[in-house]
Amino acid sequence: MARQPLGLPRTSPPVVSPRCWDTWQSLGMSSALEGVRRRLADLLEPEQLISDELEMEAYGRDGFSKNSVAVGLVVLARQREDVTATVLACLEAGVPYVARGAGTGVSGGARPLPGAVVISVDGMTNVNEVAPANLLVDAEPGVTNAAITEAVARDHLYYAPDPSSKSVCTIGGNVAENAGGAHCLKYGFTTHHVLGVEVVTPEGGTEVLGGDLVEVPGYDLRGVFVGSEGTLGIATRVWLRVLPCPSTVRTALIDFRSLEAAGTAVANIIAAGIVPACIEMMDEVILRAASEITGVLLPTQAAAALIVECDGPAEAVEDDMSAVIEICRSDGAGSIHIAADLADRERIWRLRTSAFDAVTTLAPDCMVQDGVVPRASLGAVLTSVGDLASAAGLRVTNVVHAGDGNLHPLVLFDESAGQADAATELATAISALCVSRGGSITGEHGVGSDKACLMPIMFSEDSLIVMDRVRRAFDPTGLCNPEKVLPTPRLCGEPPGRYRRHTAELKGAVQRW
Amino acid sequence: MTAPAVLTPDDIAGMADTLREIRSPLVVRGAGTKDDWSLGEPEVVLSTKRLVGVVLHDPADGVIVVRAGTSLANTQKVLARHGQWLAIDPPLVGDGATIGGIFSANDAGPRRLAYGTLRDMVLGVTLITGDGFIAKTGGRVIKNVAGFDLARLYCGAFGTLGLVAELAFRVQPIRPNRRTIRVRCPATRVGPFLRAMRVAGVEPSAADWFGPSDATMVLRIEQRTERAATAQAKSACEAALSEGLGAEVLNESDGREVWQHGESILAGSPGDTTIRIVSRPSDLPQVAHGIFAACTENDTDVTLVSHAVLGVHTARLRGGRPGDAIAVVRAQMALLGGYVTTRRRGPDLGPEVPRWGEPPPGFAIMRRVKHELDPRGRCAPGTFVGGI
Repeated sequence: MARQPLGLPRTSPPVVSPRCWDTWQSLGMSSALEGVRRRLADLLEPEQLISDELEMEAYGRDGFSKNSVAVGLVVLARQREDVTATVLACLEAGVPYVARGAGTGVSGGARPLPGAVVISVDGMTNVNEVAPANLLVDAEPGVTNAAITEAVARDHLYYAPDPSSKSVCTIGGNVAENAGGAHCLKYGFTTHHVLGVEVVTPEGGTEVLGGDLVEVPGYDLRGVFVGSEGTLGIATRVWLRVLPCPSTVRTALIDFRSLEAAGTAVANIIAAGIVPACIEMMDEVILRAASEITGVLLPTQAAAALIVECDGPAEAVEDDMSAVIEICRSDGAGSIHIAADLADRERIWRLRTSAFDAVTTLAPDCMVQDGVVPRASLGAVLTSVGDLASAAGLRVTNVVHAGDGNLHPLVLFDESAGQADAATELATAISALCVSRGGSITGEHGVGSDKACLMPIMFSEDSLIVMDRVRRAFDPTGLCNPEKVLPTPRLCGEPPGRYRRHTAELKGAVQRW
Repeated sequence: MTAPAVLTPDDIAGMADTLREIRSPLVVRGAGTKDDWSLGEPEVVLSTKRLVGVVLHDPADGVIVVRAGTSLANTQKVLARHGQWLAIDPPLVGDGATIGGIFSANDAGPRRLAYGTLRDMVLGVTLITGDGFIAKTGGRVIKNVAGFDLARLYCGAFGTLGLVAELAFRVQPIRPNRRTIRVRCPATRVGPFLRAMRVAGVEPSAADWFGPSDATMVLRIEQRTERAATAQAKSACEAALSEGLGAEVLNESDGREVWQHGESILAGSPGDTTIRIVSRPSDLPQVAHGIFAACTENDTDVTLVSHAVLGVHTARLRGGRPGDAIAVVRAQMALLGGYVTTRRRGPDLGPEVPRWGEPPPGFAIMRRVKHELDPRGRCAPGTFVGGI
């Protein structure tokens, strides 16, 4: 068939089209906000509205930044109707808003724009239904990750994704961020465990995406919604898949003389066809600090350690653990300690879960980076991270979800000594390094406002345009958590997609730490 | 009816050009194994025939990147050399089903119990929108939350949003030690038996229930070591016995035969009609009873295979009045909150029997997604849910 003339000129629309909250800003936010407040005062209980600046301060930040943004209004939602009322009021007044769970996110996803409305769902804590025979839990978004497991524990079931904040983070936030955790090597991420989401759409309607079944005809909107960082609507109900508890769990702490040797062992475990529940890696600096604050003694003077956990049927776990140990030995492991009992297992895990507390003993300030590389290149990449740190004159210590290739370099610095810019530059250089090795700028912390300006190093302009079109399909007015995930000129300083040297441009363009 | 014009661009850019320039509606086709799933004949076919090959296989990382027109069979051959596989066992692989086609249909087989569908394995795709924008989403590492997850949006979209041209997947190690266990089990006993298996720590990779005649559960055990496989098979049989159900571990050839039988039902033969029913897993007895009654009433021969833990059922219908039977089942499933869609459509199934049934929840947003990603409505217009 002969080629026909172009049906449409191929003009590239701006990645983010002008949205009405620009108008809102130019018209003056206070009168618009006043409109929202008045309208909601008629519909909600007085104690559901917070407009005192001091009280709102906590809602202006999340785990990403200690600096709080000036919030316009906080709404404490108790039920879906409260969320709907708030979204409609914001829509009418043209005020941007953001949903918030426990505020534990680490990429600024739940940080409002200055003057925006924060819709807190962490009071929506009902577990609506537990259906053990169908491996199903139906819960409100404010239920914590750990409470999902608690709700099904007596049926010998559990909810698999386990971010380290699981005792406080909410399932609604997990859905927004597609939360991971140590065990996603074997069990996958939030997206693998969410069957459906009831969403208050950015137009104030209610839609169920997916449902309570494993498949529903039509586009997988649930798949797009999970991990969209609160930009496509607000989840008010979530249907989750839970799993039978594994009958056996074995945990080992294995130390190595170098990060490279530990990295090689990880690659060889995977190459041998073993899929442990998780493989975590820590370097010497963080191991010592964690040992110090927890009192958990380290087996030897390790330069790096792996925590390997296998779970499943008893025989499979025993066979896998023996194979893991054999591989580690031949890759030069030092001491190998297999937990004797549950208490011992918890001791090993304390080393890992205390890492982010331990790091505060190492430097006045710390920046947690989140990047992913192909698993087999982990050792080499960690060496490069060390080189980048030396060049920057800063210290970096590493906590790694090694089985996933997901690294969390902790950049240590002293803001009072003027090292903040250097630390930001180093963190950005690490992101660029991950992308150059075929990886990603974020494995589980999300893009949020933190990395929106880095998106063009990973995605072409056309890719970002297509993502924005999907966003527009959900949110035509652009009021739902704006300036997150996708780069905008205001946030990033110039039209997205025109980046040449992102590092220089980023400097000063993003509020961070 | 005249044969459709078939366009076979050589590469991704050629595909994008075609989509940008074309003025008539088109249908994207891989190997054409699911041609008889749709109603009517397309005028123009955009074929992925030349978009073939493995772009990258990193065995150490457990990742493969393939072009959409690559057959699953060839992909598995490449992976098997390194003791790996793309953990999916859909029907029609022997007929050349392509990765792009299986992805777009989100089709799968019995082992989706352990591994999910391609939706769960996809790491990233290069997609082309209906108006010819080439976009990448995700990546090729096994953990990644950067940007919107458009890969999953295209999975199961049946080519109505453009097409996926290149796909990256996480692959799994082959677990070579296998057992097949057959358990005599009426539909009403499936729930208690599954529960007994959970309590006993049995983790089958597939658990299919067959009916109506010879009501049977068939389990597949797959383990890395022989010892673990033996132990799991033993536990499974004990769980059956504890429920008063007779169980036997099949020898290799009988095991293969029973899974081939299952595949033949999932696939159907030319002339058959097959339907997909999705329900809450615990509704299996009602689903089975309902469809058997509806088919008996309409002189239709029916065989059902259910992925019992998941509540995903496939029925193969032969003879009689399948359309009338489907209408009855649809009414029943609406009451149970389930769904019925047709897959293979036999010649005795008229256009008055819709493929999709009522528009699903979220339909308003689906329509807008379609409009954003295929603004000129070129890609299989009118063929998807709610007439999208």
